[in-house]
Amino acid sequence: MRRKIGLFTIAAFITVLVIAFNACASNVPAEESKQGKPDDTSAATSHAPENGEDAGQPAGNSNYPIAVTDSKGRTIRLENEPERIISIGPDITEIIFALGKGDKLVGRSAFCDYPPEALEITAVGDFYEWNLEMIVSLEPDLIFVSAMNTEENEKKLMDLGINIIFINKTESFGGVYETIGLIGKVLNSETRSEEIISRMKNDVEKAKKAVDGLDRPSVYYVVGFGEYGDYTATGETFIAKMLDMAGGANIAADITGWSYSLEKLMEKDPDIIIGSEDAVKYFREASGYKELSAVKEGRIYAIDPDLLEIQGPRLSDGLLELVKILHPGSLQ
Amino acid sequence: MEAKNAVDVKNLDFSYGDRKVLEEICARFHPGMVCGLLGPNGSGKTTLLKNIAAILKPQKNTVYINGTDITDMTANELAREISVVPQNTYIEFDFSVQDIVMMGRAPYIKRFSSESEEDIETAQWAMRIAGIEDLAERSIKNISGGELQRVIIARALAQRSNIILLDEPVSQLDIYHQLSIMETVRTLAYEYGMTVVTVLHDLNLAAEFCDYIYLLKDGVIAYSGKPKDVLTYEIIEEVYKIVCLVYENPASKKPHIVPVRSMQEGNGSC
Amino acid sequence: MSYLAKRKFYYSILLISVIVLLLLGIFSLFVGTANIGFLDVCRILASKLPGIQKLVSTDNIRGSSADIIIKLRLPRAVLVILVGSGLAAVGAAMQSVFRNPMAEPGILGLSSGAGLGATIAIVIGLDKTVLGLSAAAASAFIGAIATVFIVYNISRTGHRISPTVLILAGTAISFMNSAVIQLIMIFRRDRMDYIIMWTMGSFSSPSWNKIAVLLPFLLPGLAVILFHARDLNIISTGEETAKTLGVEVERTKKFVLASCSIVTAACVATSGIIGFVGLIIPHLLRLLVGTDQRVLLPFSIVGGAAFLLVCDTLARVAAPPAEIPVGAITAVFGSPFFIALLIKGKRSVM
Repeated sequence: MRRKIGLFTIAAFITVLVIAFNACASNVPAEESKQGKPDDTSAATSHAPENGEDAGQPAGNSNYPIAVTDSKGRTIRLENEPERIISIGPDITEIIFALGKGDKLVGRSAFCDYPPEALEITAVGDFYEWNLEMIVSLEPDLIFVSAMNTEENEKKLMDLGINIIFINKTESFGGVYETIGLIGKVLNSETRSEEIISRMKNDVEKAKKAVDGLDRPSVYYVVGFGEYGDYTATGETFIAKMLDMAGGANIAADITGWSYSLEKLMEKDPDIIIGSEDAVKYFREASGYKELSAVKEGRIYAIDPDLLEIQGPRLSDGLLELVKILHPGSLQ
Repeated sequence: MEAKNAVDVKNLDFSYGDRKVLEEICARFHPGMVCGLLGPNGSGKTTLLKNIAAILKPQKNTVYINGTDITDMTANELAREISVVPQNTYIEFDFSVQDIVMMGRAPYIKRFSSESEEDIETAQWAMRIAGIEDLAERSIKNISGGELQRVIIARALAQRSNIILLDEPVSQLDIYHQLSIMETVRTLAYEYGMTVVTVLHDLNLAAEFCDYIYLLKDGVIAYSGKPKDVLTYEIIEEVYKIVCLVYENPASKKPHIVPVRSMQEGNGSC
Repeated sequence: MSYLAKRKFYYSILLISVIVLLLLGIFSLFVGTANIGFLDVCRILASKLPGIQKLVSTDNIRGSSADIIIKLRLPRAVLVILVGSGLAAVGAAMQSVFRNPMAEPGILGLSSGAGLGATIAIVIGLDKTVLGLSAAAASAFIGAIATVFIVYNISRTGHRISPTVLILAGTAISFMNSAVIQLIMIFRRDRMDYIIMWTMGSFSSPSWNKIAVLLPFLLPGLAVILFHARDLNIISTGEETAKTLGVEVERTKKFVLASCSIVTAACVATSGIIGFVGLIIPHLLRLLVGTDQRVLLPFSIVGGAAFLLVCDTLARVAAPPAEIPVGAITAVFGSPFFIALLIKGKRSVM
């Protein structure tokens, strides 16, 4: 997702300069397809049970009404188990499927494309525009939002009596567990969410143990590249934390704001470079980039960026992938 | 006692910022007469005209109409007393001739009310005097320069003011239109008793059509009087820095000026 | 046709246009991404009309359908009509004040000022709502007004404001605002998407609240502009001339520009930057009804509303489920017209 930033920059400049023609930028997000191909990913699908009742919970609505607090500090009271859910945010869509509640989803954002079943659900808009009319006509009883949205859209839908739970991007695994726990509680599948969380915790421990005491190779994670500008996971980002947990020394750890430069990259000349398939391909061909030692010596690796950028159940898989790249053979 | 419809200018000074343009101007313009403001470029004649029209803001107690200080008058009151034909008219939008002439009625029409029959008749009268009745429906984008100037004069007439100020009304027109428009202007003074003040460049037109001339030089009135008294070769030589011959026009018995050469340095003078 | 009869004729055409606009508005309630049958829409609407509501049964219509018609499509149509009328009237008035056929509501830096205001609110992360408007919208309004204030004071010499300097100052400040927006976006990449989304302009989140906020700015603003229609005609032939024709030029300019700014700022704050309506509608109508503001302004109000309503309806239904930004539609219609205008202008010069 972060890779889109490059395109956005260009689009933004055009937008602002030719302000009357502002609408040109609107096509950008739609054209840019997401990196992730479900087949590339590791074990995430296997964690998801068949859609159906959560075995650990008594059937029916005995737990309801419940009240939960979302990231905006709003208290949302649910009288019954939500039956018609819209998810605007790829992370939430993944979590809902992982909880086995994918059949309750009646709407999703255009960017929710994992697991593949999600694509069969009606898209109700992208990050820029929500089609309110479509959302209302789907008659949802609950909307989860993690992606961009406007206050106005939210307020409008709340005025129409639809519950909205907003979930912020998080900066730690702890935050992701909380999110999963929250959604589990709301969707009456707490046992399932506990299982996912403990599986993830387990994986994180495994990763930590594997890299403990090992030398830390310097690493550069590609977010954006080439003519769209060089962007990386700078120190404050969650991906930077994951690189650190996976036993890497992020060369951009000391700066913030995503922005980087090829010059700086050449100066630091990291041991290992990690990026999307496209990034790897570009680095191998583009002048400047191909002169980097890591590229010349074959230490540039592709990863599905969704594993690191979508803050859902696959995040721990992403961490393990990073460990495999940074410290091959360290995982039993 | 102030004469009716006379314009009095008393000790008028005017500066653009620090630059003094007019100094101690005293002048009086009478009804039924054509008064000419003459002078070389930059002598301040247009500035004087704009002060009288209150386009520029004159000081208090310097310009009077019928004894009233014009700075005490609203734009609307003033527009009923004085009409102005500006030097260059360029109109961006596609109005009809009638639309433009009708704007002369603006000082008389209340907000939100439409033009009355009287307004329309007045506009038609003005167009008739200016000789553009046939053009009423035409777009001002599709008429000649001479016709446009007549439209502007018609608009000024539609104001039914007693005083009309013209800033080089004929400077960009051919000789036929120069004469015919000046003849119309003269009619306004002689037949309708208006006070006519006009800036002119062409000394011969001034000699022919003006009853009285104020000759400006460097922001002061250098000479004033009847054309035959002001337009002498000595005065022209001094004010305009040219060598010229002045004859008497055998047809009108007015002075006729034939410029010979400029008195530029190095040109040699005899 | 006589001078007055012609204007009467135009006013009767205007009446017909208003009726057409109302019909367009009603038509827009019948189309949308949600599939609601023609009769259902009729019944939902009828059920809200006092008098006949008892005669109409809405029992077998889904509750969401009524919400869609009454709480989404209806306020949206009203909002679009208001914004379209405001922008077009402002464009027509500004073209007269500036004696420049290319003048449009954004010319004083209003749009960029609104953009900057919204950007700042988005970056600071204000998420309060002010008068039912988002913080971004309120801040956009303030940004637009602040920008005009600066531009106005730059252009003022004593009591006079020069239109040329106004346009230049407006352009310069626009560039500066845009540059600041860019810089903010570079430093706050995480907020960039929101900023872009805001500047694109859309009616996708309509509400009665917005309409309630817009009206107190729009109606008095339009009233002041209409009030000065005849003065604007005269000013458009030259400021000095206007003075000699009894128009209080500086005061008129001040009132009209202030009203234009307030109307534009309110429109932009409630629906983002929507280009071209304020430029092409007055021009198109000038060709049809002439340049007399007493006729042109009311026609612009109706025409701008109708044009934007058609564009927005297209934006809603052209590519479901996505909504095309309405700015894109107005520009797609607008650009060819603009070019045709330029070519025509060139011919008349040659």
